[in-house]
Amino acid sequence: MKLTEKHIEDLMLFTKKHYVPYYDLQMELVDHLANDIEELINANPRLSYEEAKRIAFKKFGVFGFQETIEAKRKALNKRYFKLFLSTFLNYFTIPKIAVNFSLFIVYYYLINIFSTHLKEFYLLSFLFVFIYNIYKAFNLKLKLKKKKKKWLFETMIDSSFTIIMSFNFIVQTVPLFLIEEFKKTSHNQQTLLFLSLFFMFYVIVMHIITYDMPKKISLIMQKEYPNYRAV
Amino acid sequence: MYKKIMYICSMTKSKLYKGSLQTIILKLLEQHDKMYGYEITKHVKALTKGDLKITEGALYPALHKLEAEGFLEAEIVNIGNRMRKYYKLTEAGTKETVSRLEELQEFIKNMQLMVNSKTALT
Repeated sequence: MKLTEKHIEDLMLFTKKHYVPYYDLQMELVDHLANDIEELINANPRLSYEEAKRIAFKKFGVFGFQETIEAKRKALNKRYFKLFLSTFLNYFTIPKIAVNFSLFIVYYYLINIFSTHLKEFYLLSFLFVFIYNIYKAFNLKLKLKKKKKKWLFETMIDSSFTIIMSFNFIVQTVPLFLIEEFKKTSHNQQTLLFLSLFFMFYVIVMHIITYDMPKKISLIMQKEYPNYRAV
Repeated sequence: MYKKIMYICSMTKSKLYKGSLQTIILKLLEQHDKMYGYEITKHVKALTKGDLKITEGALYPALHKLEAEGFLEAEIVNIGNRMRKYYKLTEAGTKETVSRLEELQEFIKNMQLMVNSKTALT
């Protein structure tokens, strides 16, 4: 027996009902269930489709698809981090490193000019980058929400919103102690150098999260899944 | 009673195989150009004459882990009314298979030494 289009649609709905809303995972599970159902019915033609589906699903254990989905999420998190790391390291190769160095020099130059209002300048410059990236992340979130098919790997882009929020908290609080120290001590250049370096890293990380990673994930998905649409 | 003993035996066996699941998958993919999840379970079952059944709950996590580690790459093929995800070894995966098989053979050798040695078990 060969399952029909209707059966496949039913299996898609079945996986969705069992907490697998992601197409990249649904597709694989549906094929597995379909293969098993076909074989079960071929071995015992008196078995109904619904009965065979129940038997096939039972083989996934008491937690159903949960173990599979969790393992896939874990694996994709790892893949995301690897991709992030390689993209980050790529920023320190020629010619990108020249752009970073220019950004560092410009910020260092400006921070020296505004050293009397260091705290205000620091907070304003970070706020500017933060708002710009929040805007980008928000747009991405909207774009993903509009899509009919949900893809598990794309949820990693969505979570960039959370990363930006938590990262910004660190950025705003930690160097503020340094600025206070800068005021107390003899206005040493080391603090300004550190703040400029910190700003450069902040801009790079934010750019990777909101620009490079969504673009790279989209390219990977297009390469791996023929029915993937970026928009 | 018989059923209970069979269940315990199968539990012990599955525990023994659990640590080698990834190596089994890698080995199978080394012998075949590409395979999909269901095909892997069927193949293992046939090879071991039903002695080893890879459960669905263990197979996919292992495949996804190997894929994330860069040892496997996926190929999605439209097979008519549905899509099928095939896995194949990457270059890193081929190297990993060799090293894991060596490790497994070493392990088997040591286990045989342990089991066959009278002094080790007494």
